[in-house]
Formats: sequence, C-alpha cells, structure tokens
Amino acid sequence: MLSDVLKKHFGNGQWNRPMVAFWIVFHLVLIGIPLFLYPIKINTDLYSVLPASHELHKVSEAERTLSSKTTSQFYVLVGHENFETAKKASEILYAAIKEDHSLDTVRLYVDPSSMQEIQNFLFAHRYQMQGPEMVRQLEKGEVDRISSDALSSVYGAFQFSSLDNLAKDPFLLGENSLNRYLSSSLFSSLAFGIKENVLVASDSGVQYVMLSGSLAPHVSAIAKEGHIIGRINELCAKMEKETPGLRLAFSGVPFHSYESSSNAQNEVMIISIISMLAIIVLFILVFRSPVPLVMVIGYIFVAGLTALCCTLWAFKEIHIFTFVFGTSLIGICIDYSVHFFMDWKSSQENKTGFDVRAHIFKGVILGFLTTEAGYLAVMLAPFPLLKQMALFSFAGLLSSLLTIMIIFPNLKLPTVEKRIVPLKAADILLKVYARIFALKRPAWICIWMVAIAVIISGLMRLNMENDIRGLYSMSDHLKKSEQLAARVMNLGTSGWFFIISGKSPEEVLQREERLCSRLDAEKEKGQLSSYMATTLFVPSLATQNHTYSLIREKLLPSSQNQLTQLGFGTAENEQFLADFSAASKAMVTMDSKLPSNLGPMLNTLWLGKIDGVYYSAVLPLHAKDQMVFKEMASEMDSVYFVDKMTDIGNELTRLSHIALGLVILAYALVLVVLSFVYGFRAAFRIIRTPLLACIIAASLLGHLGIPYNFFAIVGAILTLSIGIDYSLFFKENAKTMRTTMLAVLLSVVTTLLSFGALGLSSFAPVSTFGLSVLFGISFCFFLAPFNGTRPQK
Amino acid sequence: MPKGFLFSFLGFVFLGVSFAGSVYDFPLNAENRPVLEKSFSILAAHNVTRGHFKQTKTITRISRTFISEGTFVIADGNGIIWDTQKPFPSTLVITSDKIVQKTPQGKNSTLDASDNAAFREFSNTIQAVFSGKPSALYSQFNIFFSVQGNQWKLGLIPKEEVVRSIISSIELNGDLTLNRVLIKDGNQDLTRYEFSAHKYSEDLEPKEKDAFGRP
Repeated sequence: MLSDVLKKHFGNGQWNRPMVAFWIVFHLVLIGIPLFLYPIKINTDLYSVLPASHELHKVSEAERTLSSKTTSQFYVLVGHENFETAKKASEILYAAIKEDHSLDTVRLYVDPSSMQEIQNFLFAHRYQMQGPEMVRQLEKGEVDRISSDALSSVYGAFQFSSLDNLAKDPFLLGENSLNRYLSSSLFSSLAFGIKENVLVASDSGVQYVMLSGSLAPHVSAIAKEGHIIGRINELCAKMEKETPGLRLAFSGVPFHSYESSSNAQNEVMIISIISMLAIIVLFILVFRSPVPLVMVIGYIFVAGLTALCCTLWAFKEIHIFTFVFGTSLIGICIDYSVHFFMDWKSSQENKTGFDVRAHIFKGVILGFLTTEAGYLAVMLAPFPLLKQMALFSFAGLLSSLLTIMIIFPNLKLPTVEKRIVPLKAADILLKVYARIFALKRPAWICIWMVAIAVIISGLMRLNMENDIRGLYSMSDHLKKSEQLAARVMNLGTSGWFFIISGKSPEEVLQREERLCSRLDAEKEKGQLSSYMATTLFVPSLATQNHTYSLIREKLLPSSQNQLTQLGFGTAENEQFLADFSAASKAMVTMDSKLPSNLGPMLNTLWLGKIDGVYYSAVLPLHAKDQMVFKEMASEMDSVYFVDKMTDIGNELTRLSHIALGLVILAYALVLVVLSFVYGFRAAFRIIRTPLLACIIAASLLGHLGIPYNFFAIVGAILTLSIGIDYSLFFKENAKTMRTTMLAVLLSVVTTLLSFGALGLSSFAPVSTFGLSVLFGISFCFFLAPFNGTRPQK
Repeated sequence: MPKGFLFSFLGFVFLGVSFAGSVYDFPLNAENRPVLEKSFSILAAHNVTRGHFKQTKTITRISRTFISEGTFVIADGNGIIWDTQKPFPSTLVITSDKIVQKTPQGKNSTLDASDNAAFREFSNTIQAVFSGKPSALYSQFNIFFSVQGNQWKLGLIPKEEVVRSIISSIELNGDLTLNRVLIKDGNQDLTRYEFSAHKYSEDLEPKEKDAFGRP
C-alpha cells in the first residue's frame, strides 16, 4: 500500500539515496534520542517565563524557593450576610477537597487550643524570648520599672494571660512575650477573628469564612481535566448558583496559573486550527491538488516534532509559551514549501523535482541562512525562555529546509497541462504596484513626507518600558475576586521583600535581627505597620544568650523582693532560681518543637540551606515608601531587597537591548554576505525592507498605545528574520514575477493568519508579540517589491 | 421536653422568685428579654458614667488574692478608662481602635485594635459588657438573665470555644446601676469588680478627652 503511494507520487528515478538516508538518520537522531531519554515535560510555571534578574542573581535560588512555597498557596473566602450560611458553604467545600491527594494542606478549622500552645511556648522560653523594648530596659538596668510594671499588671484590670504561674514568673516576662506576639499578629491575617472555630472577617455586612490550602509538590498548575483548581471552581460556581447571596473570593497563584494555562491551551488550539484551516483552504484554492497539502502537513509535523525534541534534549523540558510562540514556525515553514510548490505547479520547463529545487535553491538558502542567523543571535541572549524559543524555531526550520531540499524534489511533477496556478490575485497586486511605481516625483515626495511625519509621530509616542505588572491581565472575574480578597484579608504584603543570607543559620538569624531593629525604627516613624520574620519566634542564639544573661544579672538579684511584694516566701524564690538555672538549656532553634500554628508561616519565611548557603525572608506589611527599605538593604551586609517585578522589568529592558543589538550584528553580517552575492547597493536594498518594516510597525504600536516592550522587540527580531525572505524571493525570481508574487502572497497570508491569531491572545506578551510581527510582516510584504526589481505595467 | 423550653416557661411563671438561684439556670428568652433591655436602658441613659471600683482577683492555684481599687469612666461612643490607684497605680484606656496601658514608671503600651481582630474583639467585648447595650452582647455570648424586684443578674458565656478558654463566664449584677461584675477565667480563677459612688454627666472632662485621644 505504502509502496504504491510512494510509486504513484514519488519516483522520478532519481532518488538521492545517501541524502535521503542522511535525512532519515538526522530526524531519527534528533527525534528518537530525546524521546528515548526524556519524558515530554511541559513547564507551565508563569514565573519561569521571567529571567533571574541581575539584582537577584546572588539570591535567585532562595527567591525561587520562596516563590515555590508561596505560589502553591491559595485562599478561598466564602461569604454571606448570614454567618451560618457562609460557614455551611465553606464546610461543603472543605469536605469535598480535604482528602484530595492533589493538596498538601487544607485548613478551615482553627484549633481552639492553638492559642494556649503558643502561650505555653512563649512561657517556656520567657528567659530567651523578650522583645527589643524589654532588652533595652534590662540593658539600662531599669529593674524598678520592670518590677513595678509587673505589679501594676497583676493588680490592674483585664489581663490576657493567667496569673497561675506568678510564683514562677513574678516579673510577668511570659505575658510580656505574649503581648509582643499578639501585637505582631502573625498567626493569621490581621483582619480575621475566630468564630465557631473558623477564621472569619466581615466586609460591607458580609461575613467571610477563610479556607486556605496549598497544592501538593507533585501537582502542576496546568489546567487539565479533573484538576483540583478546576474542581474547586466548579464546586464554587455550583454553590453560588444554589445559594442566593453567597459571595466567593479566590486568591493565590494557583488560580491564576490555572486560568492562564487554560487560556494558553485554548489559544494554542485556536491558533493551530486557524493556521491549519487557512493552509488547507489556500492550498486547495491555489494548487488544486491534494499532494502539496498532504506533503506540507507531513512536513510541518516532522519539523514541529524535530523542534520539540531538540528543545527537550537541550532544556529537558519545554515551556508552554514556547508552544504558543512556536506556532509561528508553521508560518515560516510554509513559506519555503509554497515557493517549491509554486514552481512545481507552474513552471512548464521543469523535467523533475530537482529542477524545481534548482530554481528556488538560492532564494530559499539565502532566506534560510538569514532567518537562522536571526535565531542564532537570539539564542545568545541570556534568557532561557528566549533561547528555548529560538532553538525550537531554529531546529524546526532546519528540518523543514532538509525536507524541502532532500525529500520534495523526489515528488513526481504534475503533467504539463496541469501546471497552472490562479494568478489573478497576483496580477491585481502587480498592477497596483506598477501604478505606484508610475507615480510622478511630486506625488512620491508628498507620500514620503506624510509617511515620515506619521512614522515619527508614532515613534515619539512609543513607550519602551517593561512593566511586568502590565503583561499579565487577569480575567475580570479573577480580578474582582483578588480585589475583594485583598480588602477582606488586609494582609498588607507588598510585591517586594527582603532575603537574608549567611553561612550558618545563626549568621542569618543575627543579620535578620539587625534588619528587624531597623524595621522597628521605621515602624515608629509610620513607614510600615508590621513585618513577618523568623526571628520573632526563633531569635539568634546570641540574642537568646544575651537576654538570658541580662535577666540573670539584672532581675535575679531582685527576685526575692518581687516575690515578697506578691506575697510569696523564700521557698518560692529558691524554686524560681532553680527554674531559671534549668532554663539555660531551653534555647530555641529551627529544630525545636515550635507551636504547630506557626509551622506554615515559619516554613515559608525560613528558606533553609540552598547550595551551601542559608537564607530567610522578611516580609514587611503595609509598607509605604519603597525607597526607604531599598536603601536600608543596600546599607546592610547580605540583606537583599527583592522587588521582583521592577527588577525583572529592568532586566527585560536590558535583554531587549542585548537581543536587538545581536540581531543588528547578525544583519551586518548578512549585509556583508549579500554584498558578495549581489553587490552592496542591492544587498542594502534587500535588508532595508525588513528594517523599514520594523520601524513602521514600531510607529504603529506607538500610535495604538501598545508598549514597545521586550515582547514587541522579539516580534521585531522575527520580522527581521522572516521579512528578508520576501525581498530575496523578489530579487531572485524577477523573471517569474507573477508566480513569485503569488508565492509571497500565499506565504504572507498564512504567516499573517498565524500571527494575527496570536495578536488576539488575552495574554498581553503573546498579543504584543503577535501584533508586532503582524504589522512588521505586512509592511515587509508591502515594501518587498521596492527592492530594485520593479514590476512593470 | 427541651431544657431551654422548660426553663423559659418556668422563668416566665416564677420570674419573681427565680433570683435566688444561679443566673445560669435562666437562659434569655422572649419573656425576660424585654426586662433585660429595660434594665440596661437605665444603665445606658447617661453619656458618661463615673465611679469607684474595687477589684479582687482570686488565684486558686497559688492561693493568692490581689485586691486593688480605683476609679472608672464609661463614656458612650468613646470607651472606658480604668484607673487603678491602689496599691500599684496603672491606667487602662479601651477604645474601639486601641488599648492603651500606662504606668507611672513610664510604661506606655498601645495595642492597635483597628486592624487586629484579637484586640478588636477584646475591646468590643469589654465595652459591650460595661456599656449597658445588650444588643452588643447577643452575637458573642450565650445570655442568661434573672430579676427580683429591681435587682437583676446577667450571665454571659462566650459562644466561642477559643474565647471560653480565656474567659469562662461573666456575671453582672445591678439595679439602677451596675454594682458588681464577676469574671471567671479559663482556669476558673475569679475576678470580682464592685462598683460604687456612681456619678453621671453628659460630657467628658478635658483629661478624659485627652485619654481617649479626642480633641
């Protein structure tokens, strides 16, 4: 059967067996080995799109560890005017997901004994864990004040802690610790109180019950059938429908990752379907034969598979956005096949497919080399995702060239009488161009002046900032949800934080304490309301020893007097001194048994040992002037101010410039090479087309108010890589201008359909990239005939 | 027959003789609720109530009793000033957005209750207990009420288990004024407040305004 098909469509009797064998081995190696070595792993982590910014290099691993901890956490607020209804709905949701293996933790209920556990912990370590205020008083020797403050509390009204242990703690050091803890309010969100064993906050008359959870480490955020986030969304939607007045708010990266990956998947599907349908319709219309269509589909499949496997080989995984961007490969691959089949289907002179190859060889090879030069240049950019996308396209294009040059020439040619293509569209376009070329000089001057004015005004409006915040636009539903959650939870975390590093846990904790004392000073000035830090519960050993020594030196001599004032005798004092002595071993470390309620928070803040270095994170709450904190970190040793969004924005701007510089360098090389082939003047005319197209596209983006960011620049780079082909095809095929115009038109239409679809993407970077290429390629096509080989009327 | 129903029925019938028993035998119901609200409306009739208090803390486990006395100010819409004068002076000011503790030695701690649910709940509970507004108590406590003549008793048991671990129950006694409050903590230790020399006015004095942070 297969041999019949091969005999029918192939077999000019000129099979170049060594080359075909090379083609087979090439693809077997590049496709087979990676598939054998590595499973297909798709990375859907939004954060990994972003480069480790320059400022973060030293702590990028620690930052990633923190991100991986925080990005798996999520919150669902279940609200209703009636608390009972809200609680009941939250319990339904909790019951549905509490046993789910996709989740690491799910929390709805608060253990009523948790407060007692914290109180006991603080009491057990009262000689080590005193706040800066108490330490300051001890250092100053203000024993009378500490003593009388304790007596005032004992005789005063409304205490938070019991006086049962008064004989063991006559200076109320335990209560002092507890008050400090309560002031910092770290065990849960500030806005939440406990009601019927759940956390509840109210907003605009609605009672919100909080359910929190985190995805299990093995669970990817990618949207797929039966995903836990999808099931939570479905269940919540059902509850909302069934319970009038129920209000739900979702917060946390898993919801965003799920939504965006779901959109990305849908978009990949839509873009692919549109591209393929466009190809099918256009190919049938133009070639009126199933052979080119079948060949092109097979050829794109092989090129795509090669691209995927090479990327897997090099990166061990493939990012979901490489797929999205990679759809552009379809458009480029088609260009070469269109040129082949245009000659195959139209030229009366050809005897075999190898004659077709000879006709298109120079144009396709030059186009291929210039495009690949662009990809190679992009591959040099220090940005893994960009490298991945460039390698994907590079490998796919190489495969497509080999197929065109080795396999396609073996195709049987159609009979001479069937070598006809519909040239009406090409003729119309050629007529339009001929009229344009026939314009008189004053008309040209007017056109140029208007064009230059429009282009310059657009370029002046160009916004070249890379604001990461603007790149991800969440859906209205999720946006409202996050806004509501932020208002209700009132956590006050900023997009930035501190990371502290050290050679040992002790060094990290000591450095963190120095930072915290600076933060305390800023707190007094109103620059922040509070902060979350490990040392609030696990002070450094140096601080614990210092506190313990201060209490021994300053308070112990007064203990008998204090106990006497409280009505106790010498026996209680002796017991007190014995307890104090025994407590010298009660130092708190990260390995100590800490209150279970603090576990999740400390687990997030303490990043532990990464590549031989220890790290922790400090999160300021309700902070105001970011510069104050940035300056603070710059003055401190091994304390890093991490503002990921701003740093990454700056990094992307830097990378954009590097990538653009590399492509311009590649273009200079292309100019040199083309100068040898065509002479400098003609070579310059060829490359000016895509250059001008990029400038006009940038101007258009300026007029439309779309930022000319990193992704627009990547689009420009691709325009430069692809667009030069059109100039080359016109230059190379001046004698067959009608079929060349039709081939280029077909190429452009298929490419534009692919990128036009990308331009419709809801994900801003993809949309910007798509529009940048769409405009660039359109202008390339429009300008390509102006490269010196003018069509005549 | 449910116990609550039985008590409400008996409470209604024997309202006049029920005072002798424990207030916790008389849950608040539709019958005695108007009586409670009427009694409290008398307490809340004045903007500012001042008086003298005697506090007796009994800590069973260490067999100690700590007695102190001082003055108080309950100001509708402003909060409470608790000025302990003997034997060790201290001042506690409770408002809806902060709890300030001061001692003559210089201790001056402020707990921000505006966005801290734990402090806010504490502040609201204390103010609800002393403000004479029972509506503020309904959501937080299971309420018990008994009355004899013009003498009434109000029993409060926190609904929340976590609050019950700190405050087991609160009992208020009064007639035309609030005379006594008994607070039993999670360890069953008892703090008794006895109030006397009540005085009323419509306005705060300047130093009281200062304490509340009002202009």
